[in-house]
Amino acid sequence: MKDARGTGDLTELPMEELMEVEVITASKFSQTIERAPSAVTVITAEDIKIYGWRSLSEILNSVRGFYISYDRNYNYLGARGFGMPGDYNTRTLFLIDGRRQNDNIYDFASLEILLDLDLIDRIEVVRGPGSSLYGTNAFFSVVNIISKKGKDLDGVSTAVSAGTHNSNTLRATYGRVFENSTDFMLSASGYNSDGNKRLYYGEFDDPSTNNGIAEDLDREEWKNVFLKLSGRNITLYSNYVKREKEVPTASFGAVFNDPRNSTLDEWGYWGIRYDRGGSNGVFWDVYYYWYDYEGDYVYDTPPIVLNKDISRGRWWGGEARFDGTLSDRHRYVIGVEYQNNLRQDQKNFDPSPYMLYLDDRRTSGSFGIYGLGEIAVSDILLFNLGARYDHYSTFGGVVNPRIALIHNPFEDVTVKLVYGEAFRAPNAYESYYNDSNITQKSNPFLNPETIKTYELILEKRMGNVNLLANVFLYDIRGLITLTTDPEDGLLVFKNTSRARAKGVELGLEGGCLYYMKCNAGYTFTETLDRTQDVSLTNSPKHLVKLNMKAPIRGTHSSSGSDAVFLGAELHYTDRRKTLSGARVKDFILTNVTLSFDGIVEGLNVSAGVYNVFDEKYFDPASEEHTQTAISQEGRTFRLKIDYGF
Amino acid sequence: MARERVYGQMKGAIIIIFFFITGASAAAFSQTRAAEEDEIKTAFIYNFAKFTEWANDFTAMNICVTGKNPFGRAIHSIEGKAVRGKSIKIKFVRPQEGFENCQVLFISSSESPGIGGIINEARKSNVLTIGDSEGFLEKGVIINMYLSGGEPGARGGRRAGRAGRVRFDINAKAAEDAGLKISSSLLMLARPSTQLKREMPLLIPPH
Repeated sequence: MKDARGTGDLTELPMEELMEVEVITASKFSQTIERAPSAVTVITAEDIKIYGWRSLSEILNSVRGFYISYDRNYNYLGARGFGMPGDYNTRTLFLIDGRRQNDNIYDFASLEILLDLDLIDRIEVVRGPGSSLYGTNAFFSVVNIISKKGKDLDGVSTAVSAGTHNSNTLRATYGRVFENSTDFMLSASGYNSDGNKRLYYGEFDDPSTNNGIAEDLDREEWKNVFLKLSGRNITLYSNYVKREKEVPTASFGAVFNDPRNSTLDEWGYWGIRYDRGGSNGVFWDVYYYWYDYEGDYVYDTPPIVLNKDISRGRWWGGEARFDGTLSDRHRYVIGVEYQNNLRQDQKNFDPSPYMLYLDDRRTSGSFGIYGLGEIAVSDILLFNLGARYDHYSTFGGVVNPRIALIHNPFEDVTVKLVYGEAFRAPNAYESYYNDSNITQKSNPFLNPETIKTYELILEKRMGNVNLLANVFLYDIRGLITLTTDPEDGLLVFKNTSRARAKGVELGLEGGCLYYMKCNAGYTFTETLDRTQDVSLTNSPKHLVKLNMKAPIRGTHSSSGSDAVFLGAELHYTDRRKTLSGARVKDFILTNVTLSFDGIVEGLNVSAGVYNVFDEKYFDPASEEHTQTAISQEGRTFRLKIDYGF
Repeated sequence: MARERVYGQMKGAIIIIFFFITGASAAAFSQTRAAEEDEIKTAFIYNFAKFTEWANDFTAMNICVTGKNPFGRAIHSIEGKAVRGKSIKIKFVRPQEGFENCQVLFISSSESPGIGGIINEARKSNVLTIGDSEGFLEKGVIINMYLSGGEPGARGGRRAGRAGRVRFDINAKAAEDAGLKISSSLLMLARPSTQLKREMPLLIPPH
């Protein structure tokens, strides 16, 4: 039960287990995750393959403390009991290789497709406030998606999958490392699905609205092209995504069962990054980003008329950072970030007969200066201090600090005490969107939301198992919520609420029984809306995540060559309050995937069953829905074949 | 109503199952999690010797190290352990001395320039050659260890590092040439080779 003290212990191990032993360096703070002033979860490419996750939303739903809500249009991430309906994932910062993904109009990041999952090397989920390093959006967590390298693929890689509701994916990727160590990767993939052709919504159960049945209105399609070219320390990168979805719920008061209700999100970026690591590392990054949104909604004024929502965001920016080391024990980081919003346009009109309701065009800018110091007071005590100043042309400046104490009292125990502040700047949509005050009005005087978080984290390593206990408390002020103004019945964003939460998390990661690897997490959160003295909407008190992967043939270390793996997950989500006050029931979601590696060299086949027990469950709806809760998908299947040569 | 109660019980059951798995795992495992690189490699060398069959009888299990010793004290920890009924002895030899008295030979990266000559010598004496340097496998070293998956983290905790694991390649042809038979269970754990042909080495009858 103890860590290896001498090779005497190691030589008793069978070879398979010996191959799982990790190499540590001499210092006490052996891994960077231990030094990180937060609880970090890492998801590997192997996990994605073995658990058969089909989207980033399914991946994050398996992470301790996180939960997903879906309204048949977008997936929304909830964390630590916080998942306000109508929130476009603004309070988590999403990164791909360190590049911010949240757009400059809605702060939106798509959980359906940011990057094809087959191109992901790993995902780092860093909990807690991250504004002291990253600025806005790093409110509850930072999710960094790290892409594979050309040399990981070393040739052509293709994939095809087929699943329930005629859901198909197709991918072709080419990756290579050239003689002079230039790394190249280019990938193109697409997805399309007929969706659930028969969706029933009781709120519309009337002969005039097709008896509540939305027929063939759940279609979805996305495309993704990704390019990466790295030389010595320079990387040229580019990503393109387009996603279209039909909306069957008749949100925003649209006409029910009309096939024209749909949304389109399209974006892309180019960038150049220079990263010279080492003990005195220099990093800089320059990028250009564009984002287009188009939402079609059919309204019965009367008469029935098509309405279009069009947004265009164009921005460019850069970041420069220096990582320094002082006497091998103290590290520091200083950096500067700049973003110039060339366009933040929002338009709303009826094409025919032409009626213009909104034509708002903005430009704005922001910059941030940040610094971080890691001071090793002794071999077993580390101070991590950081702060960032952000200035926005729209509302001015904010400062966000973070202080952490990391203590290593015993070889295998780490104690972290963290206090951090974070903010979320009001975005263009919240501040300026209105449809000439028909259903929604603007509020240009919004202030940023702020959060203060206190955390105590305990980590203990016992052999190849990591145990974790986490106690947290957070206090949010000026929460920007979409409310209905009682005076005029219009939707409007306001810095209304104050929310507070406290909770406990328990986690276990590593070897379970025999060759099974488990990841178990339990999160208890109690939230409170301090202005109304009630618990928050869509806030589960209990969350249980149980993930188990086991080799049926081969071992964990032989994954990739003639192995059969079973990946099973079981997630329990407690009851959640909807906007009407009623609760959606609690439920257990079970997914199982079997993957076969190496039947033929380079071939991987996986078969997955999702929601195995066909559990009927609901997610709370938001202000824009007539429904109180949206029913979710029953049992589905997917067969995926990856072939590389 | 009854459904509510069932779910309430389910909630309790789930939480109990969770804690059971936690407790069972904490009690059931016995593996070690992390160790220094030289300790792990030494344990690998011990296992390589265990899973190799020599064609001829031998009177000792001498594990020789030629070149600069990269393992420090750790290599001595397997001294005295039994492999095939013989007690392991650690010897440090210089290439000029020849390897007739070695059953296993670890070739340090410092000997990279003269690796060709060392391999030729070792082959004559049916020695299991082991290395941990890039390119050794192609030069004829029978088992070459390497670190897989490790990556240092970036500063400020912005990117977490990953610990590496020790892995190895086996040159089956070189094993055959040296008159050694490597157990199939060890061959299965080696990285599958695409360039080197995977052949079961034949036993060369003693002469």
